[in-house]
Amino acid sequence: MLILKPASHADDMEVDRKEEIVTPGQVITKDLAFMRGHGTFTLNEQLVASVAGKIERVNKLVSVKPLKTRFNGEIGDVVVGRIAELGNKRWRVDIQGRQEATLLLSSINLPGGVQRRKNEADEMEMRSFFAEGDMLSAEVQAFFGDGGCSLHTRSFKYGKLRNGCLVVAPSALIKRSKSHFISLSCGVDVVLGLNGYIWVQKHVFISPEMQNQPEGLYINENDEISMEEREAISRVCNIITALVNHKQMIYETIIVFMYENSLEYQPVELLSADLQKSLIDSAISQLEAAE
Amino acid sequence: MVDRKRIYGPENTSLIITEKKQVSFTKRERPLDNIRPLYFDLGTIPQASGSAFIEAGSMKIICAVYGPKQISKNQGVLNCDFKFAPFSRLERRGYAKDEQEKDFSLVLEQALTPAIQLENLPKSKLDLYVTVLESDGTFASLAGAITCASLALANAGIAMYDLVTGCSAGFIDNVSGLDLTEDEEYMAEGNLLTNKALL
Repeated sequence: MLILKPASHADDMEVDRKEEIVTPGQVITKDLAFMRGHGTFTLNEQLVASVAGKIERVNKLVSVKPLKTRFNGEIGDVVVGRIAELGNKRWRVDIQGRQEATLLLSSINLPGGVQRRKNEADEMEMRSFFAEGDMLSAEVQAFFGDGGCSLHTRSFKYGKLRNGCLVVAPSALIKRSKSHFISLSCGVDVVLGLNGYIWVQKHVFISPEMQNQPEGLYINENDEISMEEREAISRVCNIITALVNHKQMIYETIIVFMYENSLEYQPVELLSADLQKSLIDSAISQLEAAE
Repeated sequence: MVDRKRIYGPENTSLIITEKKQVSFTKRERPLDNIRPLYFDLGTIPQASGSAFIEAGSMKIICAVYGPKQISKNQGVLNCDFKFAPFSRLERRGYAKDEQEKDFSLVLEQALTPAIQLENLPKSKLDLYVTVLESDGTFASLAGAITCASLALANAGIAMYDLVTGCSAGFIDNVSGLDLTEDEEYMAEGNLLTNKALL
């Protein structure tokens, strides 16, 4: 079995295998059999780390996962973003990444039917679709040469977000899963953007007829939200904040378990650090028992 | 231009300065090839992308990195800002940057730019702010600033080729030593700053 030995420059001291944290410039291995992944570079036939983080090894691929990083997306990722500005037939969307993402006018659904051709009037009325400050969910369609991503909202499940509240998490804590649109039993929907923006909203039932008539896509008013629904939304927001504070991975199952465990407390009580810790510990033990 | 927000003292004031100590390297307690013991803290400024704090003797330096942020130029850019806090030394410094601080900002940029993988940050800029909270040796402050800035960049998760460290040295009476304090710098006939990445 190949043993990865992080070695320092100055001496040949062997580091304990458990210490897999490296700093920029530290040599990871001199063995040329390994392929370099993210966070590494080659120098003088040695594999060197370029960021401060933990070494991850999958068979022959060695990469360094940084302790702190901006969102690096892949094609097909679901992201939640905020419109930052309007440009020439496009919007610039803030997704907590290195650059703002681009949403082209040709990548959105226009009211009046999916197949309608764009005309000049649409360009003049871009603000009637998305204005600055609007929240939206979208999918990463492609990347530009400089690393910026291009988004699209061409499916009905993406588009302008309303009736809810934003929670910001580090992008590294969002677990990749099959679906990032979660429906909880309490009437709350959660959109887990892989970029770290999480939208918690009141559940809105969409009938199949509504899907074929997308006039209400870009309305800017919230629906009626009752006190119980507001309480449920704030409870879920506080649970996700608890997961962020304790650097826990965020995904559907843990949110569901924590929600059930938290029902005996008021949403505002969930902001205390001790209660957050105990809820997280009990949810983790539930998860381990379920496996 | 009178700055109405600040309270100036009377126009004619004189500073109370104690006499400078006469020091020489032969009487220094710390060995000549030793630097002052270092203390680091990371993540000191939570609102910044990355931050670091360094303390060596009585010298205290803080650094914050903001970015990468979007700009219109094609290449990645590092902007460095070096400032002695007005209260950092015995004699009060101004709020505006003077020539020395502008020069030191350029030195910081020259020291750090080769170490950052800027080709992986197209159309992005990094803003780096170093503030010397307490200074004990001008060149030692600059050397500490370089080290502190590297740590802040690593804390921000920015890809680098290596960490850059800085060290100061000087001559007193034809004897050379490392990491001069304020009193020693005053006596020194010459001072040197070096920075190195272990590539």
